[in-house]
Amino acid sequence: MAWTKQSKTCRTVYLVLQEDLEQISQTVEFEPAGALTMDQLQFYSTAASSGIVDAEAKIIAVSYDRILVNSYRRSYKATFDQQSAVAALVEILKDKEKTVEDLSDTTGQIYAERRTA
Amino acid sequence: MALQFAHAQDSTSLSANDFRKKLKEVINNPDLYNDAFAKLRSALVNKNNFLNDFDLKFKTFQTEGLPPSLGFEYKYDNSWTKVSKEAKFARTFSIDLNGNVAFKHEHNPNDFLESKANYSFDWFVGGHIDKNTNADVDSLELIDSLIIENQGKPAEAVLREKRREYVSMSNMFYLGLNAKASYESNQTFTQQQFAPGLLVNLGFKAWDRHSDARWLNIPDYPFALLRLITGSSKDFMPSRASFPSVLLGIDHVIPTDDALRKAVLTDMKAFERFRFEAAFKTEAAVLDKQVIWFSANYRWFRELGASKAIREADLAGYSYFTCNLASSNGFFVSYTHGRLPFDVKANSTYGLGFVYNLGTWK
Repeated sequence: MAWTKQSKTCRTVYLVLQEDLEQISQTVEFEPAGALTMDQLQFYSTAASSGIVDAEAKIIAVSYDRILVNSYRRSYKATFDQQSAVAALVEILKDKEKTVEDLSDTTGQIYAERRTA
Repeated sequence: MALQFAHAQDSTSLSANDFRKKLKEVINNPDLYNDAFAKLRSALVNKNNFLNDFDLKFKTFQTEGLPPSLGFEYKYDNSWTKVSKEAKFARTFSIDLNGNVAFKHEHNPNDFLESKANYSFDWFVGGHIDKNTNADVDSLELIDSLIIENQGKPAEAVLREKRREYVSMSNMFYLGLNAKASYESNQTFTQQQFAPGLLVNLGFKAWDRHSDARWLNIPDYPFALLRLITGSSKDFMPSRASFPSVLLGIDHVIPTDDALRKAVLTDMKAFERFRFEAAFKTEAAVLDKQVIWFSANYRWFRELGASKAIREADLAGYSYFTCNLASSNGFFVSYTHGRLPFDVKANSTYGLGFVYNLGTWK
């Protein structure tokens, strides 16, 4: 799945990271944000030990999951529940070479879009 | 990793000495090995998940008074996380191997290898968020589209302000309890110790935009001022996300081979060691569309009840501080001072160069 303005998931990932979780600078526009790697987000400090990076990744994953489920009313796809969703997010967030686009792809794999009547 | 730029030169004018010099430059350039490793990994990564979590980075070590020396940094980090219902608790088992190896060991300023297994139990307190109605989500998703369509236009700020009405979370506290077992050594294994321990992680996020908690992020004040001065922020506003994270605890250290301790003690008894670590990362400024991040990390180790001989030999305590300013285009400046366990003396190291990721090739 490409990083594109036409994707609802990409738009959601970008704004949740930037506006709600303050992980991306306010000055970074949508297009270049997809290529940012995890160590270019606020929570990932390359100077810190793995114990601290792990803890920060878990905080961001839990917060991100709560926003998607409650603010965006996303549900989990058949093979996921909250446990496996947060675990999958932590795996992506802890990998400093993964990009925001990768996070968006994983988000698309985990969460189903809201069903409208 | 510092990039080296070679001067273009007519190959026909190279003398044998020049050729040898150029060849040595190529052989000693870590980029050569990083390129080779990145290509090997991209070829194998789908066939072997171990490689996906394994990171090997060749680099040049620079120690005071010694010439640069080639070596590598390795890191393997894998974890398995289980989360409770509503994600209030989490349990994680992780394996972490990391260290720096210089091909000439006496040139290694961070001569500390750690192999660690860790089990953590985590609590997330707060972070409550009300569920939106379907009509709210319709509005939120429409505003999201409009923000992105209007980036750089006056309407963007108004739309962002409006969006905040639809996403509101309370402040979040994090507490992690860790039981770990680690094996620590220098790269020649002349100093080795086993160090099981109990650690506590603490974290806080001021997610609630309406609370004053962000004003408690005092370490961010100088950077909030810098962001204001450089125009990346319109107001003096500390970050809600960049509160320092803390890790502290007690290790039970069992030295198995330690020449430094042997030199001052008649026996190699186990001892308790207090450890403390604080980490901080925040946006410092945006210059010429490049985001500059400031990161700092401080680690402190202290042997509890250390004997007079250990104190006099300066082996009772170790402290280590590192900070850097890193731009999103890869440029960085860094400063490191202090020593980790096994380091004989404190070193100060300055760094300046470019970092680029090799592992994101697709």
